[in-house]
Amino acid sequence: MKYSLFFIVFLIGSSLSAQNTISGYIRDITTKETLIGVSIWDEKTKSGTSTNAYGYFSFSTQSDSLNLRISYVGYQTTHIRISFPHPQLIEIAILAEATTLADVVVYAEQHHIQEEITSTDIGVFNLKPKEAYLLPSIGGEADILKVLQLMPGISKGGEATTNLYVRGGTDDQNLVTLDEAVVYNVGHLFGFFSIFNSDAINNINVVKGGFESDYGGRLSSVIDTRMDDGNSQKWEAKGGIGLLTSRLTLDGPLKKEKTSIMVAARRTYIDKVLSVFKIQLPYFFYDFNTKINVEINKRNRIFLSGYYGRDVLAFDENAQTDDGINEELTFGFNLGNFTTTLRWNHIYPENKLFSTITLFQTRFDYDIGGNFVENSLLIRSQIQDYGIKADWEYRANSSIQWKMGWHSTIHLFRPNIVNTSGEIADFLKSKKGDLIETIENALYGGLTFDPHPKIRAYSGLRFSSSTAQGKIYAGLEPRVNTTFLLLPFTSAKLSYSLMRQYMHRVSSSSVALPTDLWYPVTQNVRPQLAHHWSGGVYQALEPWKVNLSAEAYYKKMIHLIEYREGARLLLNNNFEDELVSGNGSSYGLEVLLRRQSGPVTGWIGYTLSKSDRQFESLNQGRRYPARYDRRHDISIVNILRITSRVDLAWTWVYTSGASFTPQTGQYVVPNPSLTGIELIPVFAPRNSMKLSPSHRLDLNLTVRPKKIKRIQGEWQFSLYNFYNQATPSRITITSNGNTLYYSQPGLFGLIPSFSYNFRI
Amino acid sequence: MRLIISFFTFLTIVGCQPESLFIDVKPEPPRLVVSSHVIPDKIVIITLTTSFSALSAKDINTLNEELLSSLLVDSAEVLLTTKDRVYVLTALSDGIYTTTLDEIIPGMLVTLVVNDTLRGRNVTSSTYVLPNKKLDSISFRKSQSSDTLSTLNYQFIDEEEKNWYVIQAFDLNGIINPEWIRIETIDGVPEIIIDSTEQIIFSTEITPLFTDILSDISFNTELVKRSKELSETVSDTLLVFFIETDQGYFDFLQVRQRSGGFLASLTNEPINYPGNIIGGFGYFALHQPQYKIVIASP
Repeated sequence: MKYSLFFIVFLIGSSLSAQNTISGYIRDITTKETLIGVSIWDEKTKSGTSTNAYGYFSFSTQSDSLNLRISYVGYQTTHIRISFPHPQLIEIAILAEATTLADVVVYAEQHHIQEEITSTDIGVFNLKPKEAYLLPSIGGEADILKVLQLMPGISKGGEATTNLYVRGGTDDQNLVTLDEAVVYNVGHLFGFFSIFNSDAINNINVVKGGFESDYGGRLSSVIDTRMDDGNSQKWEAKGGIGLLTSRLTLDGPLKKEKTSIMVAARRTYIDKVLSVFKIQLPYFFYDFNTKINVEINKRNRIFLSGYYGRDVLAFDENAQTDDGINEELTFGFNLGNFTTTLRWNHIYPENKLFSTITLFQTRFDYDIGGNFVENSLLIRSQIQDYGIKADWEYRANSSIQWKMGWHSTIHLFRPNIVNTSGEIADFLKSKKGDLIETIENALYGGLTFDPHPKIRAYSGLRFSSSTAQGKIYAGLEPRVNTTFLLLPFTSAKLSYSLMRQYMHRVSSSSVALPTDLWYPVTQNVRPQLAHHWSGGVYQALEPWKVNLSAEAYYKKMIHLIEYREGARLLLNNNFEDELVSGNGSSYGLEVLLRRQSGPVTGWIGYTLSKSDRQFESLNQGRRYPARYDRRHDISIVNILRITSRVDLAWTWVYTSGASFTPQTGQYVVPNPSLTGIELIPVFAPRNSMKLSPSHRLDLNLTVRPKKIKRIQGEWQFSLYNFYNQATPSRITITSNGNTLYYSQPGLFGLIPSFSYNFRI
Repeated sequence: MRLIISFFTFLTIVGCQPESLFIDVKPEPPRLVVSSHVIPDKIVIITLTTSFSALSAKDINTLNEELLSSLLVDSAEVLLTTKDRVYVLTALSDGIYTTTLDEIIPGMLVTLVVNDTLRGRNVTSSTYVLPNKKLDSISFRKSQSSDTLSTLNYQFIDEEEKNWYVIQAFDLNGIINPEWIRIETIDGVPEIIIDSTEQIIFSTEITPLFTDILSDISFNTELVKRSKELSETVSDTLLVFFIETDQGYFDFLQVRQRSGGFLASLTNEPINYPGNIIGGFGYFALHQPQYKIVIASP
């Protein structure tokens, strides 16, 4: 205790001894949008910092002048010399390296590479949605979540879906946020497209290990997505026309340099396209993003952002019976997310303390229903959150920084509301669906400091709790990250995180659907826990501007939730009775070689991993492989800048097959009264079969013709699955005449597509 | 341009369907499957079949006579052992073995041993004889109009210990021959006695109406009264089957009930049925069924 007090006094003393401070925002020179994660490096003191999630930085030094180099991926490096006394609160505007539509001539200076080596971030990477434009996609729809699947440690679910399985976890263990509001369903069209319109997204920060204490509520990853603030200088329009979707984004100043607005909309027209070929698929999705950014003064900014998206299937058919009676059959679903966020950023006097107060609401709901003659059926489920977050960030100097905050969320669940009428109501009763209310709270604090010139450390603690049905679950979540600078361009990092998750989404063992229910902790369902250790070695190969990293991790997961064997998943009134609890573990090694500058950029990622589960009441209590336990995962992503107007990108992926539980045998038995026989299936042990490994090559050619008047256009030509290789998603028993056989069908073969993107 | 767009659109949507990949799923080795029944006069019937590959039939509708015949095991030595005696069962026909026990006392331990010498397989199991439970009363009121449902009411006494019951009802669809039926007064109560039970039970024309499996955990009283609503279209003669069984067979039937049906087979989680046959599949239980013909009351 004595040493702890000494340590705190030492830290405070260190912070007080810093004399000169410079703080402010770093913005894009053209749009005046703030930039996240910009590296600020003082050549004189050889120390640096970076902008936070709102583009804010604060840098203190005992020196009487600074020689700052500001660098950011996709932007020209800017040099600023500052002599004190100097106004403490400044704004720095930097110029994009390329003014093409893609804005993706990625650029990394030596110290930017070094920042990755010396920071305490482990298992963290940042992605600009604009990178997605250059990579191959299905139907020409750039999808940032599919780019994430190409990074080591992140595995996909089924083919072409946006499901993410991070370090052996499940899809519901990812905390996906959009401007701090939780997004419960990240996919359109059963996950084939993500809900994130790349035109409307500014930045995605992904954390898959080494969690700091401001993140919590999920076991496996954080995917922190931020919308574009909007151009506060001039109005502009950008968009794209693809074969399956089109999108349009407008953003500009409502009051120049003070208030900006961004509105983005997207819609599919696959229904209209198919109808040309006389194929009825009455399905479409659409989404809207909007954000208003108000700068009240230098110290106060307010943001209001929102997302609304729906997937709609509306099947309607009229048939005539032999008696000439018209019978109408309608069937469909309507599902989607709605999020709203209101944030207030405040910079306190002295400019070292930065606060964010956030109010948010998020809702995910689905309706499935239909009518046939005089029967009608409607099933509805909904989850809605109302939350508040208060976060403070204090940057004492380039060595010491602390964060603290409080988060509180009310979750309202209303699963399985059923409304029936007609004969169907005889066996499927209407029910209101019980409202389940839980309150989740978290208090956290975290400190980044340098205990030694060669060691940088982060130490944080989070206290989280959830109150559900009169039961309180609570616990501490310690977080520790340490970086050892071995050589100027070599470091080793270690981290430990304890994570707690108070809500779950349980999917069937064979397929995850957007209609899978989210379910909170209750009297019987306990929170999930994960102890997550990771460590790695990081090397910057400076002459080639390449970063090489090798990270190993071990994750022990406790109180995981699965459906019990034989669980009824359809229209079940006693959902909780179908859940069982158990443990899991995963471990692996991730290697990443990444080049972010020059005419050839991209990365090679390899993951060797193993993930298993053990439930007392599943698989006779024996340990079994997790559904997406993929042993090997290789991604090669390469972008070649052929000329300033032509880019060629290709990705090649190799993935070990997922696990599966096939039916291997069967037998017949007479029924109890000897009045007939019944056929009983025999299944292999749970997930004991591996689907075949798969590999796929995708190509994309980007051509940017000359500007026509003010329109900068861009053509994208994509070939998905170039050599037409099946990616197995399941094992089926197929009939071929009189013979049955097992097969592993793939979903998509070669799909050519093109799209046109523009900016005005 | 329109043609080009249509062409690309078509390619995009239809794409090239890649060939499914080969998979070698090891077949489940064939195992003996046991089922057992007790019929009046202390006769025990053991049915022996063999399990088979999932690739032999897709569902119950694709099971043909030839396949079914090949599943019956006719080369087995079947033994039942009680405290006092070993019974060697007689092969009644392919796959069906029978014997008559000297006595059948509830709670009596019976051990089954099956040796399939031809294929080198053997299984064993043990069970306790279950009480000869009977319904206290049963009545059937048939609907008189399309607006009302028919109702089957029944009641029985639930003893103090933990008990499990199965009741099934079938619509006989008028197949019953009046000559098979006679009414006898037993303990002062008029009972409908059926003389050709076999012909009814094995008839393909009877229609299953419902199967209820009951655990007395949910019962509040000793006298259990139940009412079951049936469609207004059922005929006026029902066959009702009732047993008291053990927890294992109850669990087996519960899984069957939850997993049966087309939708359930698509959406439910996979499960291997519980059983008490060591080395094989199925269930060995000696419950004593009550079959009753119930005629609609006016």
